[in-house]
Amino acid sequence: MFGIGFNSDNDIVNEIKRGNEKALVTLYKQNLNSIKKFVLINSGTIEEVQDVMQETLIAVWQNIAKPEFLLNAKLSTYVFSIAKNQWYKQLKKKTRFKVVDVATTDNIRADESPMLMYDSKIVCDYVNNLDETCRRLLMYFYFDGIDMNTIAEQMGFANSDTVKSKKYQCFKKLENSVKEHFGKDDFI
Amino acid sequence: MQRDIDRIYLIDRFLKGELSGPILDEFKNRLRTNPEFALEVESQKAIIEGIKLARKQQLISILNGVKTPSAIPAIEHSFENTKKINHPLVPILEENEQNEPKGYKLKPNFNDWYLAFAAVLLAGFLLYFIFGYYIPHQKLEMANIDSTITNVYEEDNLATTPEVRKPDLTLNSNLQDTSKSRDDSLGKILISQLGDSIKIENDTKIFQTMYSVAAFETITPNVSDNNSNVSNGGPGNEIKIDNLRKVKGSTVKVEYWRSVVGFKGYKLSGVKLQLFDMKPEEKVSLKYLDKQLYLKKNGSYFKMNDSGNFEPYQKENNSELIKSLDSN
Repeated sequence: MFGIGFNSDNDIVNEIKRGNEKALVTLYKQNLNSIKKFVLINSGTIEEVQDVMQETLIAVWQNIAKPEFLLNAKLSTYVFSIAKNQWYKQLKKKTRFKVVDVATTDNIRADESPMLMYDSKIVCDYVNNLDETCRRLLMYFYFDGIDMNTIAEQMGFANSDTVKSKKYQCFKKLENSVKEHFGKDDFI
Repeated sequence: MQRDIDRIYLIDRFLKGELSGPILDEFKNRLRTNPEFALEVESQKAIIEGIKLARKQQLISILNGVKTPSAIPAIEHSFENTKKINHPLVPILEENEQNEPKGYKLKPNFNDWYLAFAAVLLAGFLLYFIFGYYIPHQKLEMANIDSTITNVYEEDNLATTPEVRKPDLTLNSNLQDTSKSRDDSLGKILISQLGDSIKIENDTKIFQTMYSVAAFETITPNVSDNNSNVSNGGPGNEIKIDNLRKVKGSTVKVEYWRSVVGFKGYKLSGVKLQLFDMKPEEKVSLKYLDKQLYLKKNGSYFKMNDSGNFEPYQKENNSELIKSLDSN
């Protein structure tokens, strides 16, 4: 399947649900032209195209990873709708631009990640310093929202209980590192 | 340890919004009443946000390394935050970022095999054209010009439109024609080198007129095997003519031509006669005898064969025939 390309939307969705980043790359290539055209027509710049692409695909990634996600339309349509929402948000911030394409996208909403919290960037550094297994496991669980059984299958653990235990160890390891750096009171 | 695992898992579910009913109520009550527990929840929340940020940056780094389709130039974006944070999962992207300047860079993409194939085909065609055709062609043409003049070739329809005809400068035909004799044909083209330019001269028609030509035929009343007055192709190849009678003549169009290669001869096609190396002011006459055209000039007769080809003048030496021609 890989190296040649995904056969269908369902392939891409399934691979995203498993945390396969190659599916994200495929999604990027498939949707770049249409999103780029849309943003540029609506007074966007090349730099903003890239921002919209990134935000869109991250949002799509997280939405698809949710267990309740159900694809009711073509994946490209879904991605494009989220991209338009992303661009509307940016235009709203600017307020001086007028949108050309005003297709209704109310039923599809981009589920953005929350804004970065206090000290999150430094925590991020410590996450990246974890060993690969811990890093992947924590990312899969907390960001991708992949369930324990799928993580077990994906990472070669015996079962979900093993994943749960390993995740606890990894989390504690990270927590200790962070606490050592900042001290307990910094998180209050 | 199991209790810790369950507690962390419970906090995860709360932060994800998965708790409901009495479990949620109990959790909220505990948050209010137990500051240490509340602190643990806040701590876990901050760490989870850090994990999410790390994963987001990792995915963005992957997207930054994507090669875009060939239809659109690749946009390689140096994401500001990713420069500050190490990403051991994406070493290739790290290398890219280290080597690339900050900002955007437009790059053509040649990943598509068909574009590469078309480029190779085009390059091959150009090379073949330059080295296989153009350069050899130029060399041969220069060599041909260096031979100073005299490259001549035949053109069949010279007499029809001689002034407007265009010479065939195909090199190969020129080279082949250099071995030909110059006087075996008419309709010549002279190519000479004059400095850096090439001058091409054609045969030119200098005059034309219409002749009303009388015609005669022989009458041979008595012909026998042993004693005949007229023999044709017999011993001595003599023709004995007893009598002539005049028949209906015809009008012949006569053209006087100047040959650039000094050709001396004629071309007869039906009633059209082209004469080379003859001047209009020279006195000539024409006469048909037994449907054969003869030209008389300065007391000599020349037989004009209606072959449609360029032929040299052939003087008629048959005294009986000359006598018969002169008798009318």
